[in-house]
Amino acid sequence: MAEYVILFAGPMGAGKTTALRSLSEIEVVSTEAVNSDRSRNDKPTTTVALDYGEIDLDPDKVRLYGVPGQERFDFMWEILRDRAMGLIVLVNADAPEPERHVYEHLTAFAELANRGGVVVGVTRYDIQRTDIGDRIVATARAVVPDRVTPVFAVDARDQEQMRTLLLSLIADIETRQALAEATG
Amino acid sequence: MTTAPPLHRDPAIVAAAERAIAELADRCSTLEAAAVTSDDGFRVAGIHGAAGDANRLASMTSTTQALGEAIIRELDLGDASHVAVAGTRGALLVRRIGSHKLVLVAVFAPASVDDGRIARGVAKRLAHTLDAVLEHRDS
Repeated sequence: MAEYVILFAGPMGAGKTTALRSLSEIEVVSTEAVNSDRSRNDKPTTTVALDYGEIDLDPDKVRLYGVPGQERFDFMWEILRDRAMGLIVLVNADAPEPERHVYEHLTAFAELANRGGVVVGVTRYDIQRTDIGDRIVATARAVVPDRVTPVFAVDARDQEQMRTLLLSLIADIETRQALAEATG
Repeated sequence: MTTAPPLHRDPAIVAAAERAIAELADRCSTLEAAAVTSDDGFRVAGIHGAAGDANRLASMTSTTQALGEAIIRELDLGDASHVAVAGTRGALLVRRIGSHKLVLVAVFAPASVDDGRIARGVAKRLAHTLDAVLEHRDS
């Protein structure tokens, strides 16, 4: 049995808390605060510390941590990324320049992306912007050039879609671990 | 219809917070930094010494308060009162201001046995003041 610690990162409003709630088999520990400045982002609440959930992927156990989306809480990024083994970056397709958020978050978590596994999930993709996928793939390749970063279109509310994303990440981590042991 | 400004930009709230911080500084000689912040980590008012970046302290205050309340909730320990973090050189105290979406943080270096009591009193008086301010604002 293995234990994995997976981080959900991405900008405010990308669906990190929603995704974690879709996946977790325990009640999610949440630290949402009222968003007092709706002029910056019209979202009623924002995560200020972390979200925490768990899922049992028999025989493996996965601990899920959502980090705050706002950069002014980036000290939590530093605290959580050191103990993580994999990274899910979520970006919402209807944000201006979603590839910029991919760039910023992959850069902030580059060490984890290179050490462990990484996937990108694009939420709110059901809009008329057909070049988003290519732009995000190109951005991920630019930031993490030594590996292929899978990019998925997902609905954060959909448990099966999020489970597929998570299983892809776990498979990536296991493959890298096996390769490291074989060459090691 | 005009929209009320965010808590951290409301002049009446900022003025009340500034008075509370001044009282705390007046009564606690080892106060190194103090601030009133919104629940989501925006600085309403504060004074700052050598304790690092003021906006970062506001963000960390929000995180500390939220984590403390989450743990109290998870352990079913009732309503959260405050969070205290102590170091060898001083201590940090984070306390919700009444039932408002605002938090008081105070950094004492060194800390003394009276700090918590004084901070509690300051937060309580500020909460009463804000009751009236916010009632007027929301009406």
